[in-house]
Amino acid sequence: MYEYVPAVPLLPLVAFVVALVAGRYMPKRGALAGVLAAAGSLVLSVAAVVELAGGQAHAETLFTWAGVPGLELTVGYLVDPLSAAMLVVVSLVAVLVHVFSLGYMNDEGETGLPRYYAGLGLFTFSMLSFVLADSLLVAFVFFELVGLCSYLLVGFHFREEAPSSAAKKAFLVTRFGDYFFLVGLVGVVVTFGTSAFVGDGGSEAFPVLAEAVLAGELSADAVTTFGFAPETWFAVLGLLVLGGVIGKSAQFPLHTWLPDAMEGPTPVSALIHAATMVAAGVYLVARTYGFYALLPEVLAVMAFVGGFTALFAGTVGLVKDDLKQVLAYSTISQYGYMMLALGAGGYVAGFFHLTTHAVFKTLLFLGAGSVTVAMHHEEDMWEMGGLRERMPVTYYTFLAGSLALAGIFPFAGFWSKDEVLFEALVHGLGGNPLLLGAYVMGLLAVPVTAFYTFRMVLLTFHGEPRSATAEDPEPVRWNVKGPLVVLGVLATVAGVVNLVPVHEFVPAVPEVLHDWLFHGPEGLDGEHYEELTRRFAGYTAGTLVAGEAGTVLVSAGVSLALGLAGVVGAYRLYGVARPTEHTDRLGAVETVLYDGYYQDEYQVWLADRTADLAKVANRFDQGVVDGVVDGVSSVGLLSGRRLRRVQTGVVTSYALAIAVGLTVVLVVVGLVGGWLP
Amino acid sequence: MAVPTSYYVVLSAAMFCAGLFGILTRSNALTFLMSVELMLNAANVNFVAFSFHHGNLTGQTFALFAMALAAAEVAIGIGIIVTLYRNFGGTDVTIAREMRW
Amino acid sequence: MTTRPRLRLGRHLLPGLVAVGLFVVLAVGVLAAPLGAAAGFPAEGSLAEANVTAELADGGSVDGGSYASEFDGSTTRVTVDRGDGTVAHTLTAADVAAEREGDTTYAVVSVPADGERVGLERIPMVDHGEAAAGPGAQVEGVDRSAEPGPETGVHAVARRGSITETIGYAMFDLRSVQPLPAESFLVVLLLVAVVLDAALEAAVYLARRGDDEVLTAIGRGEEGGEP
Repeated sequence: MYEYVPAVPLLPLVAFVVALVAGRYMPKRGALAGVLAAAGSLVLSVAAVVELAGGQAHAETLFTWAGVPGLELTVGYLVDPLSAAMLVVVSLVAVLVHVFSLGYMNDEGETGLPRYYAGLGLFTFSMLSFVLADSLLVAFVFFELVGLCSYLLVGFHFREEAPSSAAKKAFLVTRFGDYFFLVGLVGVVVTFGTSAFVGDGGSEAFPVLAEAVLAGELSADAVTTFGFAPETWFAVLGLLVLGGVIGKSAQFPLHTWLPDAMEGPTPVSALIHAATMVAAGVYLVARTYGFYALLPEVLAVMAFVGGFTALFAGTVGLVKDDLKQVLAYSTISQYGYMMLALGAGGYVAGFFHLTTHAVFKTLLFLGAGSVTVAMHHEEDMWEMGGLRERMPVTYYTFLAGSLALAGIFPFAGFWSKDEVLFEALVHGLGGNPLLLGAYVMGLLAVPVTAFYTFRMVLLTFHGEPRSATAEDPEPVRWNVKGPLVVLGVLATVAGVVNLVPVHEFVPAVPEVLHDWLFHGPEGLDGEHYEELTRRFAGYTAGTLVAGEAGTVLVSAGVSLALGLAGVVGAYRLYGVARPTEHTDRLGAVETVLYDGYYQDEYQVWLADRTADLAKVANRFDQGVVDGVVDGVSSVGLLSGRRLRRVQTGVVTSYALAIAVGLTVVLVVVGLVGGWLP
Repeated sequence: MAVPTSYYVVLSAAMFCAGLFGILTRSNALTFLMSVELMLNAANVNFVAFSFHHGNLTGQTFALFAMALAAAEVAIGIGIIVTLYRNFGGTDVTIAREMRW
Repeated sequence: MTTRPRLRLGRHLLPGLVAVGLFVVLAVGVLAAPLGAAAGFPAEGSLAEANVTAELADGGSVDGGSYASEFDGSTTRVTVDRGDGTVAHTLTAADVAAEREGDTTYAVVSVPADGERVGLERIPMVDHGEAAAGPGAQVEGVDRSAEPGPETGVHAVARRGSITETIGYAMFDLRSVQPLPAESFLVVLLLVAVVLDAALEAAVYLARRGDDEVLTAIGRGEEGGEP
């Protein structure tokens, strides 16, 4: 019964140690250990899913980390449908990225490979442990560890300026969000006396406690709210934790680290910044959805931030020239969709999009990596073109990923994106006009996404080669093509795990993921969450035309039409033999977009202002605090310099001092004590 | 009639102060050592006097041990004086003033 | 070469003042202290102060002579004849000590002859049971308040205290035979033995030159010293 589950994260940890200690003596510099460990994790994850399909969810406390009676901080793991599914996604991506790294890193003759594979191993370990976490505390620990791994891997080429600076930026910006998370975590522990996601015999999970308090089943005295109304205080906690989510999942305004993080090796970008680490934020929301579902204000913020990020990052992706930059902004945009889904009460939709996005975005990044290898590390799309004939495997898999990203039927992304928008739409129509605003932004992002995706595809693979390397790209080997093919197939068909709209019309077609997530352990399943959002946030489903079925059709039709419009637009503009830079015609708007709406600039400005503040604090510290301390010590120094002259080194003077002292003491004691007349 | 204990103690105090004066005025290490002996024996006189005063022989026995310790102290003291002589060419304690600020 | 200490007003004034001052303070303090009378030690073979009267056997032989005793209910008169004349002595409490040998308790009597003590005489005592005292008997058995008399008089249970002997016993923790009060010094003795040994070793070490010769010419250390 799930005894093997701890081995899922531990295998990559072993690989980390092996690569670090013995990597340089191994034939592939530690790569094989990583591949084997990740494959082992994948097998065990699948085993967990299989076992879970026929059994019960399982939570186990491994040990008590710290605590006093009544407030114990324990470490354990939780296997439920959500975490098991996420385990499979993470370990699958990890396996493919490890294999791809053989082609991208080893074959390119990179140095420092043991460090690279150790980093990948540690990252996989942290992410899998994060997924298995049974409490907010454990989740936070691995959340931070994931951030650390990102720092290590983005800064892999630490001797160059850009990667090391990008690594620092990624670390600091996500840390900024994590501070909120940390405060929120402490708040949760103080408020509920526990941060567990699932209750065990002695204590309840904190979402359950929060629900009981808000429903009036439990007195508000049972939790510590510092004098606030429970609703207010819980919303504050939810927003604090959401701060960490926004940082990690690169949502506006803390998204600025992700485009820079593309300085890391491309497989790292695929593993960390597309499929897993950024997913940690969204996963955290899904994990604690029982808590968020109680907080309508927080859900609204989440939906709005998500919708806005989806649109905003998509527009930036329209003008970027660098292949990986386009993908970076697309990642931000897609995570915006997931946040929108979760904010709109679409628990399953959010996780569904997370899954399909993990597949097709890994595919796109690995495809971009393949192109990078072929182009001798040239990433400017204007230097490419015409790669379709020269690298067909990469082209067709990349195309599958692009179609999925653009949300074109019947690729994976269509199903998940459609469900996200559908959830936002019906809940918006059901009496939450705020959600409709978020929906509109998400809908507007659809053609934008399709446009920049196909601009990217067309510029990279179509037309005539625009440089010498594009004429004669370097061939890539099986270890690059293999993962691409696997992912290409998955990106095409992954939508079948959740054919909700089809199920609507043909009930025989199963909606696997939906059923899977709806039947978790008590209080952790989608059904319960749906109930909560209806009860506490007033999320009821509305319809547009012709009942629910009609709404499904309209929603899917609109988003598909917009997506196709984007594709056609891109084809019209860039689908020629010698495309020109149409972005120039945008004028000043292009500059604004190209610079990412100057988000970096104002954040740097803010950082500079905090540096000014730090300077003032430093001056205060140097002048006043240190001044006082120095003053005290200088008194000691000065008096010591004078007083030490007493110590002459001549024994006689010491004896004299002792004798005089003895006499004085005797006289004083004698007079005071009265025995000296 | 026995001599009152106080007189013995005053005698002891006188011996002690004589030894102290010796320590304060002499600079020869050997004289130093003698003065220290004088002070130690002042203590011994005290021991014996109070032993008599209390009718308990502990003090006398202790005086015996104090003598033994005085012997040990002299042995070490002489050794130190030898080293002093070797390192500073004399037994004047005021020469060796290295251990100061 | 001999040096003669001379007082010099300049250099010796302060030390002198200190020494004299300390002496004055100590002397004043000691003389003013209410010490009271000294307890002192009992003279050998005597009981310092005890209101006892010994009842002795009527007569018999002592070392080198014979004796006779007479008890009149309050005092005992002893006559000892050693062949060179008879010494008669009225016993006082200070004269009696007790000693036990086998089953017999002896009164150890100091008998003065011509105003001088002639030494110890061991005279068998009438054993009243409660007066039985072992070798080196302590004075604790004396009932000082008892009325003298044949039945109740305490029968010369006295210490046989010797100071030197007590010190010797105290050093080896032989309390059962230690006649006068003193603490045990066995541990101290051992420690001092070790310390003396260490001091000897240290002295030799300090006096050793690099070439393993012990420096002997300490007496040359006058140059540079005080005149």
